[in-house]
Order: sequence, then structure tokens, then C-alpha cells
Amino acid sequence: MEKAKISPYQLFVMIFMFELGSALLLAIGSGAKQDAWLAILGGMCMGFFLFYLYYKIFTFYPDLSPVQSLQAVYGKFLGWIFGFNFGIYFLYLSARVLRDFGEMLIITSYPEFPLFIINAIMAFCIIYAVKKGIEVIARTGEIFFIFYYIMAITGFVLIIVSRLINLNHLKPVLESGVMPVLKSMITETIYVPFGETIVFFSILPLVNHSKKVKIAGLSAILLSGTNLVFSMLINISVIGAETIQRSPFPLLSTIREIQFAHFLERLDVFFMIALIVGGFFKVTLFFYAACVIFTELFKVDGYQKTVYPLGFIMLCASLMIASTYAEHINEGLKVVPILFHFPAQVAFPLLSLLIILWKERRKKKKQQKASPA
Amino acid sequence: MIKRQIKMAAVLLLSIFMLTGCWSHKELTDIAFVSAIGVDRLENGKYLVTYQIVNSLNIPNGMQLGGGQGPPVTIYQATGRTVQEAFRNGGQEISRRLYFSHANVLMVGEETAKEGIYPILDVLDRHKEFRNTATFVIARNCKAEDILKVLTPIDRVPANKINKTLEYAQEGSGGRLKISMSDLISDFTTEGKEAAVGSIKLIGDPEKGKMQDSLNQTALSAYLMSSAIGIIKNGKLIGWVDGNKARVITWLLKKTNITSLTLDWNHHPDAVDIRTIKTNVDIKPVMKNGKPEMNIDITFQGQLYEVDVPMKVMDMKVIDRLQKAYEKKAEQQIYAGIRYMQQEKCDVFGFGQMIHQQYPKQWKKMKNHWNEKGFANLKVNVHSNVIISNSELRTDPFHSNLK
Repeated sequence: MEKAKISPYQLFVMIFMFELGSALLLAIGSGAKQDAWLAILGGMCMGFFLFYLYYKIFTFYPDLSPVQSLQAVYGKFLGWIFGFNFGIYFLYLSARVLRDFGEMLIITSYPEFPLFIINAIMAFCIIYAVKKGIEVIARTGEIFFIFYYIMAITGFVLIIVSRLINLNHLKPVLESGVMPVLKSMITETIYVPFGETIVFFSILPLVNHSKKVKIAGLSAILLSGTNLVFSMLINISVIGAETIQRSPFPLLSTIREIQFAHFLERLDVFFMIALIVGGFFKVTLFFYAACVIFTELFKVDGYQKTVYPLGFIMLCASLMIASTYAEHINEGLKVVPILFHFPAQVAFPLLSLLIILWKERRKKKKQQKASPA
Repeated sequence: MIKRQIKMAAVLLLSIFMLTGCWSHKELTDIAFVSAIGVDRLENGKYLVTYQIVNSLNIPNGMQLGGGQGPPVTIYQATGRTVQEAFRNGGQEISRRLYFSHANVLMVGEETAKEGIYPILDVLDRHKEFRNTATFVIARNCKAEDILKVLTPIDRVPANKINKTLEYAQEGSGGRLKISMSDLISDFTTEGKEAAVGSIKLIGDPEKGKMQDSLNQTALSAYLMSSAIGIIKNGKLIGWVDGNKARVITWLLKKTNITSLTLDWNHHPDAVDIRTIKTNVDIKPVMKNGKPEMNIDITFQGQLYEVDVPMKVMDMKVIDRLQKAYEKKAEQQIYAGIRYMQQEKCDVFGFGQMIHQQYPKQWKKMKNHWNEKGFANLKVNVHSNVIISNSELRTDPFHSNLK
């Protein structure tokens, strides 16, 4: 594990940027039509629960790295296996988000660019950041956090003054009952972006006030979740639920509607900035977690040495995981949540917590037995 | 130390290739700015696409009067079996790459609109460069190409002239519509709302309108003006609405604030005129005995602008009578406008959409054949409220003091 210290505020900022990352850009929860925002809201509530679950596990091993904690729970061998799986999982997700990012750039603005070049430029940037360490990433986050907010507020004001908001688009609320909302909540919004906070297991031990981890994490989820809900509300009320279902990037379609005073228009660059900043943090944090885990599993001294080979794997994987955008998105929506997200983000942590609690109880009983004697 | 410097230099040199951003560069001299696109369907089923391309050198700006020689726009045309194919074929005759980001008018000929506009829209909806904020217009009584070829004075780029004319007519007199592509497509996909679009017509000789010489006269031999509202059902133009009925549409769509209302007074025809400066429309669906009804509340706030008969304008009773008479007239007009659309069986007001939003459960039962059954027999209650807030710079008209 890296010998670095980050403050709770930096953790807060990183979780925030990570959550917004690609979720802000994609049509998450759009299966619920005009109630997509409710699906995100529901996902956020489950996100609190999941983060609390992760936090609970973390409190038992506050000073151990993810692999060490896994081995403490499951023993040396099984822990290694699970750790390996998580490493692959995070590496795969980093490749996925990198691909998302590259495809988005190509679709929205660089049609003639080869995907490889776009992904490679971004991958170099990410490799560099991870090599510099988590403290640097955290400080970058602090800068971009403010920047992000200024941009979001500007965009919001422009949308308001262009008189684009039509709240009637949000009606009727819950048209076909709660089921569509629950469905898109359970299949999508819980995992992406909220459940993905499981990646922070590799960062939590580095926080200098471990008592403040809970409050920092939960408030970051609250803030980013409400922001996502808010941006989805704006998207729906500007372009309507039907258009959102037909748009791969609803935020872009919303921004393109801005027309203020006949000269402030075509502000696609707002979307591009959100895309690049958000994409950067999401891939970086996944990739960092993967590096940390593999370093420990294979007993490499210094995780910096794994950065280049793993980065290369990430870059190649990002090109190989799908041949077309449709395939990529389909996998992301249908296969990955069931096959990877649910076991890794919900089932496995729950199981681990149960085992930990059981072990603790046994330990206490032993102590009780031991003490009278 | 030296090793470090060499490394540094290598990084800097390499980054030159990364930083220029000229992978797919397009120089300003290599792109042709399309200001308007016209689409007509030919008799053989192909599409004729007309591009209006801006000759930026020939547009006078504020600083240098006159600009260059020659017309401010040039027309290119191409045909294709799909609109996209016509775009591609267009590239064969233009020396530059077509650039659509600044196109703000999409014009479709009347005949083409009657045959159906669905096949035209997708390529533009999808297009990275083309903006959905562009205005969708129908060329009334002619082909889109005829309109786009006409040169215009004052606003030298005809696309701008079309946009501005429609916008000011919609805002400032009513009965004219300016609808963007995204609004149109959203009307196509929204239950209980049919699309209404604006139109432009050509007055005069189209052949003369193409010549730049035609701009060298005070009364133009060919010019463009905004025209009636086109009603679109199932993607096809089914009719035109003009005059007061068209103004009812723009009122109820909340597009028109300013307009003038005339009234007969004491047996003098059209003797009084107010100019509304604010129009508030409130439409609410209600359910009565399981049947939907629309309650429409409309408030006009205006100034007395013209009085051609003797009248005591400062007398509250007179003003009260005037307001009552106006309210009655406005209600009659609105009823007439709605009834006309009910006869056409076309819900351009979006009443169905409002019922859907307010009463989703009941809507499910009536959404099939909404236009034919639900909307055509919908009961509408109109209540209008006219407030005459002042009478400009005079109280009583001079007619009251005539010798």
C-alpha cells in the first residue's frame, strides 16, 4: 500500500467526482421514462446503504489494505483468489469507462479520429496521474471540484434564462406504477454509479481521520446523487422523456438547446469539459484500485511498477471488449450488472460482513471463556 | 543532469504531435457554411436538396459598408434517393466541405410536406453538426428551392430573414409560428399533441427574385413573407389555418404576447383597437362525470391604441363596458378557433397531452383515436379577461371634441 495520507475532504471530493463521472453524461435510469429521476433517487438511497455496508466492513480493518482484509476474512488462499477477482473487476471497469469516454468523444466531436489514439492519449494521462500517487489525484480533484461547480451553475443559469424548462414534461409522475422505476433502479442505478463506490476500499485506509470517513462518504453520495437527480430533472423538463430515450447523451442534447439572446448558443463545450473531467476521475480511480490490488497480490515492491503494464492492458482491453458502440452499451446494461456488479457490489460485501460478524462473536465468546479461567 | 534535460526535451518534442489538434482539421477556407436547407421530393421519388451557402465576403458588416460584389448567398442543389445521399451528392459540386452547424432553417416544399415529412427528419435529428434548434418551415404554394433562391434586402442572408420574420410575427402579431426541429419531433412522439408549423410564402416573380438587381429597387418584384399555420397529422401536412383561427393557436400555445384586437363600437364598425402587451393563458383539464373538459382562462392586458369614435375614455363605466365587449369577442374567437380544429380532428393545442399529464389513468382509455373521438367532441370552457390598463398619451379621442 502507498504511504500517503489524504484528508476526509479530499475523499469527499474524489467520491463526488467519481460518482458524477460518466453517470452525468449517460442516460441512466431512462427505462423509467419521465420518472428516471426517481430511479436515480432510489439508487441514491440504496447507495447510502451500500456505502454504509462498505464502511462497516472497513471499520473492522481500518489499517489493512483491501487484499489484507480479504485474507483476514477468508484466509490466505481464498483471500488471494477473491482479491485477484476484484483486481480484474476494477481493471475491466477502468477499461469500460475508458471505452465509454473514447466512444463519446468520437460520436460527439471527433468522427475521423481512431479510437486507439483517443484512448491512448487519455490512458497516458491516467497512467501519469496514478504513478504520481493518490495525493496528487486528490488535489487535482479539489481543483476540478470547484471548476465543475462553476460550470454546472453557469449551464443551469443559461438553461433557465433560455426559458427551456417545461415542468409539464415531468408529468404524469409514476404513470405505470412503481415497477418501471424499481426495475431500472435494481438493474441500473444502484450499481452505476452508486455501488461502484466499492472501489474506495483501496483508498479508505489512507484517510488520516478514519472517523470522518463515514460522514465524508455519505455526504459525497448525497451531494452527487442530488446533483444527478437534478440534472436528470433538467434533462427531462427540457427535451422530454421520449427524446432522452433516443439520445445516448441526454445532457448533450439539453445543452444544444440553449439559445440565449441570439448569440450564446452551441455550447457543446460544456458537455465536453464534463466528459473529460468526469471520465478522467472515474478511470483513474478504478485503475488506481486495480494497481494497488495487483501490486499486493504479486508482491511487487512499489505499485508504481505495475502502472505501465496494467495501463497497457487497460488500453488494449478498452479496444477489445466490444467491436461496436451498440455492443459495448448492451453489455454494459444487460450483462455487466448481473454478472459482475451485483455479485461484487452487493452479494460479496454482504457475505463478507456476515462472516466478519460471526468471527467477531466467536472471538468474544472465546475471550469470555478464557477470562474466567 | 544532462540526461534529465535530454529526457525533458524528448517529452516536449513528442508532445508537439499531441498538442496541435490538427488530426481532422478543417480550415475556414475549406468549409462552406450552409445557412438553410431546402428539401423537395421530385416526381421520380428522389429528394432534391437545396443548400443556401453564405458568401461571407459579400455580406456587408457594420464596419465596412458594401461588402464585396455578388450576392450574399449561393444556391447549390443535389438529388438523392435519401436526404443523406443528396448531401453526399452535394459534395460533388461544391469545392468545399459542407458545414451544417450554422444552418438555422430547414424548409420543406408544400407538396413534399403533404406526402410526408417523416423521411426527411431523421438524418438531421441525428446529425452532429446540424442543430435541432433550427427552424422548420414549409414553403407555401411552392417548392422549397423557389423560396431559398430569393434574395432579401435588409437582412441579407435569407435564412436570417426567414427566422426573424417568423419570430417577430409570432411574438408581435400572432397567427404565425416559428417551430424548431426539436419541438416538431417532440410533437411527433408525444401522445395527444399534433404538430403545427409555420410557413413562408413567395410574393411576386420567382425568376426576378434570384437576381441581385432585384434588390436595387424600393418595391421588390419578389419577396418573402410569413404565412399561415400548417397543420400536420401523422407526419403529413393536412391543411392551413390562417387569420383569427391561426391566432387562437398561437395564443393557446403561449407563443403570442402582443397583438391587436379590434371591436365595433356604437354601431361603428372596427372603431376601437387595443394592443395587448401581455397575454396569460391557463389551460386546465378537469374530469366531469368521467369525461374530460378543458377549462381555458385567458387574460389579455392591453392599452387602448386607437379610438375612431367619440368616447369618454376616463369613465370607468365605459371602460368596463369596453372590457366586457372585448372579453365576449375574444371568447367567440377562441371558441371558433377550437371548433375549427375539432372539425379538422387535429389536436394541435395539446389538450390530450395535458389530460395525459393530469389524469394518466383515464387517458389510457381514451388515447386510441384521441383526435377523432376524444378531441373532436371535447367540451371546452373558455373564460377570458381583458384589462385595459391605459390609453397611451391621450384620454378622450379628438372625435369627442370635433367642432
